[in-house]
Amino acid sequence: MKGKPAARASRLGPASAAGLSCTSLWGEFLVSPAMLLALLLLVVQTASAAEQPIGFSHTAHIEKARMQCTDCHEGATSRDSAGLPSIRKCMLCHQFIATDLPEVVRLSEYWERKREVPWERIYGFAKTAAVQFRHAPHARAEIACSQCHGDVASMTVAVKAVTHTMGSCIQCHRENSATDDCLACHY
Amino acid sequence: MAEQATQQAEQGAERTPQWAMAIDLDRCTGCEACVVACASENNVPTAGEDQAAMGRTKHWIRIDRYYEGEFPDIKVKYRPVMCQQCDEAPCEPVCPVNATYQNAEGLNVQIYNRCIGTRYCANNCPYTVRFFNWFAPEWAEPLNLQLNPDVSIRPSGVVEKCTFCAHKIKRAKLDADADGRDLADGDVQPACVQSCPAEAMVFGDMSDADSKVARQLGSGRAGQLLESLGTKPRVFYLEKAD
Ligand code: HEC
Ligand code: HEC
Ligand code: HEC
Ligand code: HEC
Ligand code: HEC
Repeated sequence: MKGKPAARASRLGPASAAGLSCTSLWGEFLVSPAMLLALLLLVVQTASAAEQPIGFSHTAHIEKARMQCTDCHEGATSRDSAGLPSIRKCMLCHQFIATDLPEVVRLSEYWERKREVPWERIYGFAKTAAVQFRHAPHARAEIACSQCHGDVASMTVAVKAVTHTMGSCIQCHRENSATDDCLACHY
Repeated sequence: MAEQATQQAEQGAERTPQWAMAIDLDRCTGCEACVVACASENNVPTAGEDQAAMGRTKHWIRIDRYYEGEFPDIKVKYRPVMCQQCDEAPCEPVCPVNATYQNAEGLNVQIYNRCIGTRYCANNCPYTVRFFNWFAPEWAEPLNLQLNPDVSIRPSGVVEKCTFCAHKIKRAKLDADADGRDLADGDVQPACVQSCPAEAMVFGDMSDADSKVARQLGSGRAGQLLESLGTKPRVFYLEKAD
């Protein structure tokens, strides 16, 4: 819960040092009350996000890079798991795009060390819950990602916006006359 | 017997498959390939020496042996026995929490989440094919890496048993849906059926008269295990009629 503010602070660290010593842009950023407020709001908004190794931004990729969810989460419409993208995919663009942004620099550090980014997982059930979830049938039933994950397009790192319980699964299943046989989800 | 099978096949709702299995005892060589395949498909752990000595082994499918005649003129018969997926299952009414029930496709379902481990079901099963987890299962490295993600690991304190490879039924349906077609006969192959080198086992929808399993049930050779108990199993054994 406290993770994200820490990540933000460390992200500001080197930049603010630079701001004090030379660039006026960062200096202004530090003193402007409006900007501080914006930063505070950002911190509050993302307070329930997991601590991620990189300040990834969904918004940047969906609004600026015009990407689709399935460009990165390839299985979300066709397989059981949506999956998280490999760093190879990120580097298709980030070897060339926005290479000077601090978070992208950190991304390329993983790349140079030939490591995947160790993303903190947000959704999922405990092994002992013995639940088998499948994305494909929901995509076929044209259920939007947002019904189960919230408005990810306006998030930076993903936040657990929707809590998945047996009640929420069954409620929607009943509304859509989908199955409520225990065996559909527990096996 | 053909009558019994037809009657059981018809009870399901329209277009819902009614799963059944036919095992040809004249083909079974007792090789136990099915036993091995089942354990690895369904993440069934080995009990270990000490537990086995206490009779706590777990085999969702086993091979029963029957000896006929006197040594050396001996004849051995083998019978693979797994959960018989009974229509009138003795395990179901004794569960105080409804953790086991028959679903619309005729599967006898065990919901591990719901199970509180009274073991009434296992004790009431005439086929002794239900197993209680006295301990949480363990796999020595690197065997933990070969577990099937489609099958949940059963924790300690619950009863488990053969599911007719329900996960493979689900998978076959998802695949068929993805291709926009109906399930075809033979799409669903439980691990035991798939691995049987003698092709002694056939699995399918017995409400579809053209399916391989329905034809075998109509062959006049089909019988059920402990038929007189009236449990109406979905597993049929084919034997030379005598
Ligand atoms: C540029 C690639 C990219 C795109 C496009 C993208 N994501 Fe993500 N997504 C990621 C990465 C990387 C993570 C892991 C970091 C995180 O949790 O934010 C992630 C995490 C998630 C998670 C949380 C996964 C978990 O359980 O840990 C969800 C849910 C998600 N994305 C949904 C979406 C949806 C919905 C869209 C489309 C609106 C989308 N994503 C578009 C890369 C992407
Ligand atoms: C299709 C090309 C493309 C791919 C693939 C891609 N990105 Fe980006 N990324 C962009 C663009 C465009 C931006 C926006 C740059 C800007 O803000 O000027 C961006 C921005 C970013 C930023 C900076 C966000 C910020 O606001 O500080 C991070 C971090 C990032 N990407 C990480 C990733 C990761 C991790 C992946 C792999 C999961 C990835 N990107 C995949 C194009 C891409
Ligand atoms: C019906 C609800 C539902 C819908 C619709 C849905 N998801 Fe999910 N999603 C889940 C659940 C539940 C999990 C946790 C899965 C698990 O642990 O097996 C999950 C997990 C994820 C993850 C984490 C990685 C993974 O595969 O476990 C990502 C990324 C994700 N979903 C993206 C998407 C995207 C993109 C869409 C839209 C195309 C989408 N989801 C639609 C319920 C849904
Ligand atoms: C927003 C609505 C919605 C929610 C929430 C939802 N589902 Fe579904 N689900 C559906 C619909 C609609 C179908 C039917 C698809 C079809 O019949 O083709 C379905 C189908 C399924 C199937 C395939 C069933 C089968 O055997 O044919 C599974 C498994 C499943 N859902 C699991 C889950 C789980 C687990 C959750 C909770 C984490 C969940 N669903 C939450 C709408 C939902
Ligand atoms: C649509 C999917 C779905 C169906 C159908 C379903 N469940 Fe669940 N069930 C879940 C999910 C998801 C969880 C895990 C919730 C969690 O981890 O918070 C769960 C959890 C449980 C739990 C554990 C609760 C706990 O707090 O530990 C029990 C018991 C359970 N289910 C029993 C059943 C029974 C009995 C049926 C049939 C009547 C059934 N479920 C049908 C999705 C389903």
